[in-house]
Amino acid sequence: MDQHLSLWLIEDNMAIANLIPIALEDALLLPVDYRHFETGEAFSEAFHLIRSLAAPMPSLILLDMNLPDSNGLRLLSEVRQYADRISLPVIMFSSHQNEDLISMSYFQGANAFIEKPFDYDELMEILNGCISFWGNKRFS
Amino acid sequence: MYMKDFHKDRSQLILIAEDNAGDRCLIEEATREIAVSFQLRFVSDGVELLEYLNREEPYQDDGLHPIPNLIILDHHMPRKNGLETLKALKQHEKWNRIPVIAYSTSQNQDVIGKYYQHGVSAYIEKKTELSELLDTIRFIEDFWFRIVNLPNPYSFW
Repeated sequence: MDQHLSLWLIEDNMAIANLIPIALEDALLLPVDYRHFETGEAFSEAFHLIRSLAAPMPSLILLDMNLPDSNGLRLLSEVRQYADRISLPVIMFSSHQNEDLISMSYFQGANAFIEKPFDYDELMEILNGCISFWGNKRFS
Repeated sequence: MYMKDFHKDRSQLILIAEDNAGDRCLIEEATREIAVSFQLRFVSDGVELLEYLNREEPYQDDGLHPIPNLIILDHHMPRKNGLETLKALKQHEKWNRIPVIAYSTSQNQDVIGKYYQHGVSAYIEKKTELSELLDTIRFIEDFWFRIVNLPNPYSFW
């Protein structure tokens, strides 16, 4: 599937949100369609608009667990309740990990649960891994 | 290398359903060569995988047959193939929390799409050359055991 790689980030921490496009360029050396949503509401609106237009979904979503107006698990289940969008890879992004949160994320259909990075190198590793496994939905 | 509290934690377990004995040997050989940080167990197909999780004969002993943190399914298997096994896992109230990776030599987009529809975490291409397999296993270890947080299956068991 040689479709253009597109990544959506739902994250209220602007430091991370601003670093990701730089890291993506570093990691890939090719243009990536990147969209950032600061709130759950903004994401929700875009998601439902794309659904109603039957437009292409992003290749991959990175979803912050704690948002000012919502929580990641609720948004995840909102995405997963649409059978036509169930194959969309969603990676939960969390600043803390506990067993219940991790277990609940997989239960709700997250493809993976990842703790937020400490530094740029870690962010690069996360993005590299995500792109390898889900950039075209098949790791080879 | 990703440094987050990482130490060689042999308690993490991958359970692989693979019917081909040659492929099982190759995977074992590769994991020995890399000295991977996880434990590895095999079952020969999807039916046996479900028996393992169900604690059926000969898998009653939890100490000998612990619940895996990650499941890997071959697509082509007799009795129950990878996709049918995935569906059974994802319909189960406890097993549906264990991430599943599927692999196959097939790159058929319809097949890949079906795996994602039924909740696979990732789909990877099956490698039969040792050198390529080594790369894949290194990558799985780096990503799924150092970056990703896998569930503790005993927290919901």
